[in-house]
Amino acid sequence: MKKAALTILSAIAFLASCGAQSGDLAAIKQSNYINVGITMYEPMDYFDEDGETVIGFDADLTRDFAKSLGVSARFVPISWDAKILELTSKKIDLIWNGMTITEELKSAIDLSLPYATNYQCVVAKETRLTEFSNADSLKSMKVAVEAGSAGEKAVSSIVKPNAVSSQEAALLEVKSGTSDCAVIDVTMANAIIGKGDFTALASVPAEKISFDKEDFGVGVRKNSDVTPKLNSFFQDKYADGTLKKLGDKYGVAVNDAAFTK
Amino acid sequence: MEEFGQVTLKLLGGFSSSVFLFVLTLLLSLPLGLLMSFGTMSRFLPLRYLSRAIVMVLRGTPLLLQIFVIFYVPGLLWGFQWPSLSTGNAYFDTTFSNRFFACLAAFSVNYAAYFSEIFRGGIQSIPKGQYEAGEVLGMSKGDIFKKVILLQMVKRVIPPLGNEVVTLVKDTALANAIAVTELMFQAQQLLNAGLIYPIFYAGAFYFLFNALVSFALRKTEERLAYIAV
Repeated sequence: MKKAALTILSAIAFLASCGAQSGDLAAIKQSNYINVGITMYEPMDYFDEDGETVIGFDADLTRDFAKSLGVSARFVPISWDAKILELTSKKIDLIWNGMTITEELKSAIDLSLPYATNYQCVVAKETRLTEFSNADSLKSMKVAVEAGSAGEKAVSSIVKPNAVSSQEAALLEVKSGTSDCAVIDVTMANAIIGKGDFTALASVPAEKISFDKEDFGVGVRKNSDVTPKLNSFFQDKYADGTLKKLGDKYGVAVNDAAFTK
Repeated sequence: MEEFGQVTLKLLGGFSSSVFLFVLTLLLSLPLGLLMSFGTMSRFLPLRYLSRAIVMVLRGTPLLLQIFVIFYVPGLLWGFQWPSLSTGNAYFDTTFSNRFFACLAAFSVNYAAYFSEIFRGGIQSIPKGQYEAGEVLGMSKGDIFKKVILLQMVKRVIPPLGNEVVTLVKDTALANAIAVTELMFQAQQLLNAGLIYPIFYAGAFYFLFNALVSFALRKTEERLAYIAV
């Protein structure tokens, strides 16, 4: 039901978004805030040890970008399923949360330079890792993915996955044994596996099962005047080495190809 | 990793949002429901049919969809944004934010529709003879309703009303869909940080609160248990 509701609303959103959004920059500067939709997701956006400050590869960059516009960044927690609605109905100005660029996204919203790369990996219980020898071994398994995620897309050509509400929920499926494995972002897998209750999980080595590389991009309303600002911001940060430095700090792979061509 | 005390505090923070949503929804939807029930019983036909149509739509579509429509559609079509009373950069506490108010509006009209049918049932269950007796005694229509019908109606609707009230406590979790930082939202945030048990721990909050609500409902019923009519 939620799916159907989102589809209908997304259609309205698409129609409503056809007009130009040239006034975005002025509106942001006037309000003194740029609203950035996030979900708490290590290593992109997550709480520092104080439990209040949002830090991470994307969060640090977001603050820098806001500063370059002369405003403050306001992190708005959103439901990831509804990200396009949040953006087109102007609840938020940017989706900046380790978002994998897909064709569907491109048709609905505008995207920044693909500033970082990502790929999907298979996560299973440590004790069952030997069962995963190649992509074909997934065929007989129950695979959990986040609904609408890049992982869902990647694995769908092999086996019909079980789409749950978040990547963490997919890991919960594995942990509880209701699914045999989960397909999630490698950046996320590296950050969360072994933490808290997600111990005794491990990712299947990329030599055994690998999916195509993907790009991370920032979502912006169609035809917004924020996009050029954002892209030149990324170029500056690449040129002065900030991107690389943050990438090393948080374990994110900066997409050199996007900046060197 | 977060300790049990911190987890409890975080969940309590989310729970306060849920409780605000619950209390304010009740305060708004009970009177609104009574008004709607007058509408559906009106002798003025256009008003009656309009009220019935509204109740039909509100009861016939998912509350989740109504939340989405109320929160997103004004922004999509007319650029209208819900007002927010939460200040500055206080992310991760959306109590009294635009999200909260949109949810409150959706919950209030939705529950008012259910309440209106319960009120209608209560009012129409009072025998016609009582109206006639009132008229014979020379009471006005308003007086008959206020002094004769209303209290008996209140007494009769408490049990079905209680059903909806208990459901409302749990339905506040739907606010999660537009990222209101209520109890389930906070539990999921903790899951994102690698803790599984808070999701189940959150259930205890709903249960205990509902135990309290049920107790209050029972007490109210006992208070009203004067001689049966």
